[in-house]
Amino acid sequence: MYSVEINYGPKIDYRYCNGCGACYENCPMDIFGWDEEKQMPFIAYPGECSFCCFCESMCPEVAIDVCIPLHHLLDFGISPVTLSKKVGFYEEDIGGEAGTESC
Amino acid sequence: MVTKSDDLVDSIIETDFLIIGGGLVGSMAALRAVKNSKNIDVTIIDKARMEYSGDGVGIDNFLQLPLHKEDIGKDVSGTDARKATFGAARMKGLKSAKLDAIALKNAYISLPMLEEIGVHVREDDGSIKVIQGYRKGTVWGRVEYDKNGKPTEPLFGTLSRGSDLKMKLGTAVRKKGIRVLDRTMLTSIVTKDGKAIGATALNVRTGEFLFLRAKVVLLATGTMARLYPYPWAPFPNRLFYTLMSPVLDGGGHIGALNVGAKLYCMEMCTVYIVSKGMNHSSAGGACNWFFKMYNSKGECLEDKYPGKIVTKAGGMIPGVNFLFAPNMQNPGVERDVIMSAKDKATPDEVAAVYFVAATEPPKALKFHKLAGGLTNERPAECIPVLAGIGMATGGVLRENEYSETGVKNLFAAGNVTGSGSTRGFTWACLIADHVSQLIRDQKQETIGSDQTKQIEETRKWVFAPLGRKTEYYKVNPLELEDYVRQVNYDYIGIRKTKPKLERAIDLIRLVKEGAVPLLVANNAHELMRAIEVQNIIEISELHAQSSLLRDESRLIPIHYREDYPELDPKWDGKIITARKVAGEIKYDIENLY
Repeated sequence: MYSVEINYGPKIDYRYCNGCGACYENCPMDIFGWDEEKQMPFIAYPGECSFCCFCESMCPEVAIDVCIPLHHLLDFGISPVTLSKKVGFYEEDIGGEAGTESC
Repeated sequence: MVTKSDDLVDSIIETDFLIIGGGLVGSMAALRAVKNSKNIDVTIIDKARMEYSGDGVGIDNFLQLPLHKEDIGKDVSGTDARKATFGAARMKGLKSAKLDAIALKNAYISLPMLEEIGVHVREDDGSIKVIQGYRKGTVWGRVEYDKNGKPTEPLFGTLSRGSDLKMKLGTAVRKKGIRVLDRTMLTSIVTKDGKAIGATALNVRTGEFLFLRAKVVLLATGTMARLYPYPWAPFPNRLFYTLMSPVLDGGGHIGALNVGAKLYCMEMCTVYIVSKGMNHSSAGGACNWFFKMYNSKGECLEDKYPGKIVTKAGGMIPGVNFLFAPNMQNPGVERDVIMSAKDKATPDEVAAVYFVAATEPPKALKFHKLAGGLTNERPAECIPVLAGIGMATGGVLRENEYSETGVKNLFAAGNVTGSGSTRGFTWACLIADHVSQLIRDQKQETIGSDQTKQIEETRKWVFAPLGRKTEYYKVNPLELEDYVRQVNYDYIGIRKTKPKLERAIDLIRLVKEGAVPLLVANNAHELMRAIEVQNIIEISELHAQSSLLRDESRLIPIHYREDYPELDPKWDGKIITARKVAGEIKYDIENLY
């Protein structure tokens, strides 16, 4: 695969995840796995994500961001450049650290 | 015997009423059954998590009801008015008028149940009003009322705001203490002397293999949504981005077929015209229901083809758009770019899109948020999408007025029978009422050697791909699914021809013989995908064979044969059924009862 990673599916921000397991319990496509040792969810099958965004909407810690694939952004008339700026602005706004996985 | 089947399965669960699929229909049937009788033991199995599974999650426009309550008792299914509508006329011979009349007479049966669990159905004054609805034979609009305050369109009003409906149903089911087995997928229905006595199932997380013994089984597995690739699904995965819920693979259809139930109208694939770029939610898709469609010359297609295009189909088949029908005879139009232009929409139409967007699943909200709301002024391009089998017509054939399949005690309701939405709710209630009576005099069937053999064979089939050792080649279930769906797109699709259909059948046969035996899965989750792809392959074959048999075009673009482009009266009232006899699929042309 090409060296630039494809932005795809949910990204868990482990700085905020409290391991409640709501995403793991409810994902319709069952793409989450459960790390027994850390008691944390992980993304086991990112390629099977259907972008329903249930995980993102139900995460009590707002620790999940479902990355929308490039196709969808462009089809929807969203410029990914604008989006990066928006996300950057958002992070600055809430005082978040740069460098977390964002799409 | 019990010892023997004990050895074959990880656990046996005994229940009165087994419901396969915890979607709108499954949840409603369970609630109704426990409401009817406190002593009934109900079990729901669901492949995902019940509260978030099925097509009904976040769905809007969930109820289509006669707005005039006094119309309920009337048998309107055969009236001239209905037949006169563009869609219904072409529906002739594909729907059972008898069952539709029953559904219509009982249209309001589920409302008290819904109100009980807190679904907002009525206005404060107690009347059933609608905020939005369909106008007859034309574009969407707010329902108009006459001077007496009655809606001018008496049938198929729409109650809106259904986005939390599934959650409310799910919560109610849990509160009632109904047994729900999440992450449990149907692997086979178990029968004894032509009667359903339970089902086997696989837990797709733990790999546990279960046998659920039941007096009555209800199949509520929904649409078959994974038959074609989605035309603009994301790279590199084209599999799980579909218009309907991608959880639905047609396992219920195949489960029923394997035990002798008939499937019907498998040639009829649901086709939507969806607005590209706005389709990422059904709200987006709804844009082209609400907005009129134009070609690139700025001509309104509805005006250009009066009476032929309904931007939102009225009548019996929601979700099917007839843009394509006149196109088939007007290739010039088809070569054009079809747009749904927002700048030509009325304020009502724009409001409708906003409204639907706000009540749809989180996905819709996220897209609209990222896009800065529906501020995008460019016209959205409209493209046909093949959405699978079950939304319009086709699926498991119901053979009597209790919605029972050809297998005794195996009932079916909802999209698995090709009739979802409100009718699904209605049938869920009617079946639950019938079942409550039925189980009183029934005892749990004993398990004989035939059943043990059946379970053993299923177990062998289910677990075959798990850790399979192959000599040289291993087949990834997802890669195979991608291939099969592409075959369907290339050789079946909207424009069917005999040579292409025959080619599809050849390729599907090759897949079955050459690739399926090499499917490999490494855990229960992957095993689920391996089972799903086998269901998809089976349905693809049924789809191709039935399409080949029906040498006419009906309900274009649902079934369009380029070599037989006209509706043929010899097919009026005829359906193609498929059933399994001694392992072979037999196709029949039958009169619709």
